[in-house]
Amino acid sequence: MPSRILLVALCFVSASWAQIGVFQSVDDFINEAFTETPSIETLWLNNETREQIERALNRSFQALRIRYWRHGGRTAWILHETGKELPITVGVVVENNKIVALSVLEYRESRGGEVRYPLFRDQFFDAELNNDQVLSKHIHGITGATLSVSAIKRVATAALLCHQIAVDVETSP
Amino acid sequence: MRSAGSVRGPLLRKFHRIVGMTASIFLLWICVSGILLNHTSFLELARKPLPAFLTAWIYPDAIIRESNVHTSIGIFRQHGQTISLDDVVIGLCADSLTGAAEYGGELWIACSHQLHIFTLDGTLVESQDSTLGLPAPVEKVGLCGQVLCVRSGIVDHQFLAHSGIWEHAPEGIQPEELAIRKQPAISSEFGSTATWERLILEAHSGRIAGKTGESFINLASVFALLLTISGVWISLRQS
Repeated sequence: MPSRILLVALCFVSASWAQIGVFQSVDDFINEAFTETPSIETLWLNNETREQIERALNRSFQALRIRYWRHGGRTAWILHETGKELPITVGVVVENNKIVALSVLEYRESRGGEVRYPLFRDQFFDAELNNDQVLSKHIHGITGATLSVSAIKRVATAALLCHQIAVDVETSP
Repeated sequence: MRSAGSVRGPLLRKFHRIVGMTASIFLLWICVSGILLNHTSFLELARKPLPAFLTAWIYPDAIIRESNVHTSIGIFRQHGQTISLDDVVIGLCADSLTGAAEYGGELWIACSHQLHIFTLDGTLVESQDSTLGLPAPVEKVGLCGQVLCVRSGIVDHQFLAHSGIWEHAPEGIQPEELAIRKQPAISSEFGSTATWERLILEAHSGRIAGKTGESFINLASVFALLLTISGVWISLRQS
């Protein structure tokens, strides 16, 4: 009986441990993303493209330009998106309009940091945008990290969209 | 003499009734909040900030900071996350305001860990941070010759506009050279973390009341399970 009570009591205890940290530097992320040194490019936005990004991020986005790294047809984007209270820094590598890598560079909150593990991140590999400009793959969530998962999905969508815009800008007459 | 079965029946129904009454309020809230969270995109809950009084009450950690930067052209004031120049709002800082400069036809507002760049008519152009090599904390911003510089510790860094990166500066930083005209008020939205989505999600999970709230919701879930079991049991007995 005491063991049963203990088991029930354990069900009510929420394990909570510090998940804050810098898990990958920007330099390491860029070095991993490209086999040769990329150039830092600038993506200038107009009203239409900014509205598309606002829809992807589901919030207001005011900047006129976004900087990114590029070599050939591969681009790397480092974006910040708030999960619950603080921004999560996420790096996304895109090639041929598909995500080839996604990394949580820095996580600043005390819970929800499970999004940095490969088991979650690997779901984004090969994800692209469908006709409705949303991710083509279903991403399984993580219990207790709902807002962080949502933030990562928004960043992935925004990165794919930015890559699309950057490529369109380059190929348009 | 009553049989065990005839005693258990009323007891079971009483147990079912008590558990149901006790858990009903929690279960009702979980159901309503769950439905709202299922349609958070449609209802745009993540885009709707809470009213100021709710934010101040529930999320006081939307920290109110106040600091001033006195310059030759005026006083930059920081209140909370809002930055204003002579009472005209010009931008936001997530942490401490450290200075400002005009460079390349743009207005550069320095916070400890960010630089916000505005056009001279008040449109946000870009926000920079350590992602592009901005050193932190930024203690001072000004000009190194013709190039924008920031000081972090004892080291000066200059911004190379053509390459978009920060490098060590060869010359010393000059005192703030601010040739900034007063800008019209910027009514841009930077978003808020105190949104309805966050409030409903935290209330749904009980986290809004900390560990105690989480335990209450866990208990309500257990009650729902007991309600289900007792309900099925009563049904089977009646059939």
